[in-house]
Amino acid sequence: MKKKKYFIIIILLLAISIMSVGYATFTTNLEIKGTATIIGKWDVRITNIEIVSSSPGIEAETPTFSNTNIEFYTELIKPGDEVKYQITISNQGNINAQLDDILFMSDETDENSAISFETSEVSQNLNAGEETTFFITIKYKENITKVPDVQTKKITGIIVYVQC
Amino acid sequence: MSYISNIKAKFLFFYLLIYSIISIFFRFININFYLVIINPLLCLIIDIYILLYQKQKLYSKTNYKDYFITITTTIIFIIINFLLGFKLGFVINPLCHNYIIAFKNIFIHIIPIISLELIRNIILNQNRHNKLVPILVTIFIILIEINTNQLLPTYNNKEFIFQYLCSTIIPIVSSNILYTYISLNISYKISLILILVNIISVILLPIFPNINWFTKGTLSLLKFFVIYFLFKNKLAKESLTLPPNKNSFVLISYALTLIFATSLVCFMLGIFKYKPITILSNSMTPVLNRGDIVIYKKLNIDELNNLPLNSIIIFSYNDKYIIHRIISKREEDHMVYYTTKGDNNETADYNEISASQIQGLYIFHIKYLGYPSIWLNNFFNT
Repeated sequence: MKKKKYFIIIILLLAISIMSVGYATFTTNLEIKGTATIIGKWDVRITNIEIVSSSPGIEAETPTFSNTNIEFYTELIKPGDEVKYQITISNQGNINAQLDDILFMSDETDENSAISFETSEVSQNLNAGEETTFFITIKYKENITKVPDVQTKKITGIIVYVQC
Repeated sequence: MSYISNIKAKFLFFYLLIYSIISIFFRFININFYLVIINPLLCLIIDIYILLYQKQKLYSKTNYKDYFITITTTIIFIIINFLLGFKLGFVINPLCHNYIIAFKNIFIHIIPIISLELIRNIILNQNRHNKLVPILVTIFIILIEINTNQLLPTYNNKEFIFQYLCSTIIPIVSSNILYTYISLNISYKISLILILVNIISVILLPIFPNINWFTKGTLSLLKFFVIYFLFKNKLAKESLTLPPNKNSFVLISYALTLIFATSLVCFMLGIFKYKPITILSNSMTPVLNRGDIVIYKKLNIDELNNLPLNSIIIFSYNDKYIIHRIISKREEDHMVYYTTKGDNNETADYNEISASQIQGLYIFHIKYLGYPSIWLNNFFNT
C-alpha cells in the first residue's frame, strides 16, 4: 500500500518534470521559429558554353561566361557561314525550377540584317541537381550579295527560370 | 477470457474488445458517418439495454461526500482552467455555434461515454477480485478514445508526437485510470459526473481558454492526482485501513507533492514574477555556461529604465532570447538604450537594445540543470 502511494507521487512528479523540460525546449524553439528562414537554395546558372560546329575557315573565339552571362564573339566571312554553340544550364540548388520566359533579341536594323540567329528549344523543367542544354546558331545569311555597312550584331538572350 | 467469470461480463468484455478495434479503424480512415450516426446509435442501444435489464449488476456505493468531492473538484478545475485564460487568452468555442450543433455534439460524444462507463462498471463489478481485468478494460477504453487519425499521419514529427502525448494521451490515460479506480471502488455515477460536466462545459460554453499542450497535460495530471487522493483518503478513513497518525503522514506527503507540482507548473508558465531559461551558448562564460538554468525576474517599466551597469539581463533579439551584460547606457527622447556584451565575447553586441526588448534581470543560476532541455532540443532537431 505504502509503495503504491509513493509510486503515484513519483509518476506524477516525473511526468510533470518531463513535460516541463519539453515545454522549456519548445518555448525556445517556438520563439526561434518566429523568424521565417528560407533553407531552400536557389542556384540556376550557366555552367558551360562550347562551340559545337562552325563553317570551314571560321575562327570563333572560345566564349566566356559567368553564372548568368555569356559573351561570345565570332567573325563570319562569307554568306552561309555559321557557328553553333551549345549552352549548358544547371540547377545546382535544391529547389526545382521551371522555365518562365525565354527571349532572344537583337538590335535588328537594315544595316546588320545580314546576320541571323536561331535557338533550339529550351527545357521547360529543370529539377534540382539536373542540367539541360540548348543551342544557339549564328549565321551569315546566304542570300546576301554585298557586304553590309554594319558588320556586327549584338544578340541579347534572357532565360528566366522560376521556382516550381 | 477465462479469467472473466460472469457470462454477461464476458459478452461485454468481448464487445469492448471489438469496439476498440472498430473505433481505431474508423477513426483512422475518418469516416464521419460511423462517428456521427452509427457509433452513437449503437451506444444508445447498449445504454438502454444496460439501464433496463442489467442495472442490478452496476456497482454504486456512494454517499453525499462522494458527490461533494466530485462536484467541488470539477468546478474548481473548470475555474482554474478559465482563470488561466486571463494569462493565455481565450478562443471562441467552435462547437457552440447554435443549439442544433450543440445538441448534435452532445449526441455524438455523451451517449458513447455513458455506454463505456456502464460497461466498465459492470465488467469490473463482476470481476472484482481479478487484477488483470481492470488493466485490460482501461487499455481497451483508452484505445477507443485515442484519435489515431490525428497521430499516424505525423509519425515522423517528433515535436508533434511529444506534444500529442502530453496534451492528449496523458489526459486520456490518467482520466481512465481514475475512472476505473472510481468505478471499482465507488460508483459509475461519480465517473459519469466527472466526465459529463467537463464535456458539457466544453460543448456549451461560447468561449474557452486557449490553453497550450503543457497546461492541458499538467492540469489533467494534477486533476487526476487531487481526485484520486481525495477519494483514497476518504475510503481509507471509512475502512479504517490506516491508523490516524499514518493517515496524516500520507495526507501531508500528498499535499506537499501537490503544492510542489502546482508551483512547478505555474513557474514554467510564467505566472510568478520569476521565470527559468536555459543557457544554450557559452557567450557568458565563466559566469554562465551552456546547460545552466538561469532564474530571472520580470521587471516593471521603472525598473527597465533604471537598470545599473554590469547587470546581466535577458532580452529578446530577432525572436531569440539572449543573456548578456549591460556595459553602457544612453537616453534619447525619453527612451533608454542599453549596449550589451557577452563576458566571453571580444566585442560588444552590434545593436543597442531598448527597454521593451528586455525580458528580465538575472537573479541566480543553477548549474547543469538545463542539460535535459538541451538534450531534448538536440533529439528533436536530429
